[in-house]
Amino acid sequence: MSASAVGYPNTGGIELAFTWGGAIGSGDATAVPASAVLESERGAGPVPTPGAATGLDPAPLFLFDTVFGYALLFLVGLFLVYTGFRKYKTSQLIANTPTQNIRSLAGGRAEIVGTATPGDDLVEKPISEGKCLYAQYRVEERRTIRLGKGNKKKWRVWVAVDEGEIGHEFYVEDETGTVPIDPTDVDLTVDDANTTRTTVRTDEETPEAVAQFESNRPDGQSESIGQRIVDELHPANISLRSMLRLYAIVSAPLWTLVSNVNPSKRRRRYTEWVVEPGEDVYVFGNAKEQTDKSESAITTDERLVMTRDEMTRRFVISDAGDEAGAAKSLRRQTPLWMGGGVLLSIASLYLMLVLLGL
Amino acid sequence: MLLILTIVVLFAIVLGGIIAVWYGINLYNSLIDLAERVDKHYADIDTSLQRRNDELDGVIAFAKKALDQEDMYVELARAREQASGAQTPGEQAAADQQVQQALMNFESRVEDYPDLDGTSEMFDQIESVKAIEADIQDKRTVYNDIVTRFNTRIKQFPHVVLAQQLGYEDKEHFEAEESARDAPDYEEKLGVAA
Repeated sequence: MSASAVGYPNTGGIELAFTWGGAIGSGDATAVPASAVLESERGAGPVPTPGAATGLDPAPLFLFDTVFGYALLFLVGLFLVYTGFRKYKTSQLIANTPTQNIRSLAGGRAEIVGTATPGDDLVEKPISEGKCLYAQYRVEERRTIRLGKGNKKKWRVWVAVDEGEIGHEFYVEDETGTVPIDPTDVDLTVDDANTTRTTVRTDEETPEAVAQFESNRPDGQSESIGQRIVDELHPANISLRSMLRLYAIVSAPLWTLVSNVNPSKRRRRYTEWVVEPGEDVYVFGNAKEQTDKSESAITTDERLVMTRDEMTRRFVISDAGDEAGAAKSLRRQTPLWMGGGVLLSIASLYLMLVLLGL
Repeated sequence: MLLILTIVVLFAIVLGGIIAVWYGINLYNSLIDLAERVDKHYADIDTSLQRRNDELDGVIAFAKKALDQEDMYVELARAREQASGAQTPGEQAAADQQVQQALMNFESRVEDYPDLDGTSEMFDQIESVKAIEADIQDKRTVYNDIVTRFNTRIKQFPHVVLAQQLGYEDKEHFEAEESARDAPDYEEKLGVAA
């Protein structure tokens, strides 16, 4: 099996999802496929007091001050609840799957623990210096939305403009054997030590690694929006991630309209999550028969390759190093996502109804 | 304002209901999944046992052809026969123990006939059987692990309610004796330095 670089189609557009419960900070690379961190900042000058403008309006309200804005937040809340569901379900699947020795892996859903070792080659880390086995990255741009009377209120928004994964096939070995890993569409969970985040302003010097990453990064905008929508709707590509990318593509023009960037102070935030060679990793996925295996294939590395499990739609790689650590991490996140989602959806529904004047 | 609060409270109740229903469905599916995993891992062992028995047939066929003394291989043939007839995990564990013992005895005896034609070929087959035995050992460990998880889960609340509805009962472990959990020490038996 030959090693090959893998990657997501460049989402290119501007994506909206909210970081919640410190998911990004905790190094969960897949917790939020794309993020826009909302931060409030009062602009210069006096800010209207609620109800002060007319004496009747309950405004200014939270965030966008529009029904659309609250409807969007409402949907985001439900999405967070769904993400919490999904994380709980993943932890259950992990709990139902015992760790196996690589020597005796049979085809089908499986989990293994072992040491990650290189295949043919390592890949350059996207953001920081050095090489790794596999990496996920996200590029976000800070945008400003002006609101309220006289546009005196500003909201700063981190909008994801690109995300993806890079990696060649690598191996995981335990004391009984070795198995190749095909790192495509991975649900990666790594700790802070394997997470790097860099914010770069255009009026500051760009770190060399970031400049190189930017020069090599494909430009997602080169393809028309229509073509990208068609690509995402292709039956072979349909998944939760493709739906998120579709949302990003469709909503990008809207974000361009409602936000702006100061060209002289543009900020971009780069985040990477990596798997280093020699690290103890936990892998949950599908042990799949190799398509090009020879008739005499006997050992696990000759017969099988670990890939995404299409039945459960999961492919977890974690540097927790064992099943308990990986499952614990997911279980710990579940109430944060679900609780946050419930609160956000209820609050936005309330504010939306208030705005509608019911 | 009362209307708004009513709608919000209703929404919270509906959302809570949806989460509760989802949780119930997830409990059910998870239990079914676990039971299926137990069966899957048992089937994996069965497949390996079949491979092992096929290899043993090859060893016995060679022995019949090359060795004129029936008592040389009769123990192995009996153990092989017993392994074929084993049905439950407990019976299979006991049968496997006998197969391992018989194979070890057979190998020890064949050592006394170093000049037989094809001896090396037969030892290759024996090595193959031993490799499969190690594979079976791994799979048993995994099977026992998942059986323990299943047996524990069906006793835990709230799974116990669903488990009773589904008629789930404890699954049987592979109850091999402690001495049989480790692969036989062939080197010691044959007097060969490790």
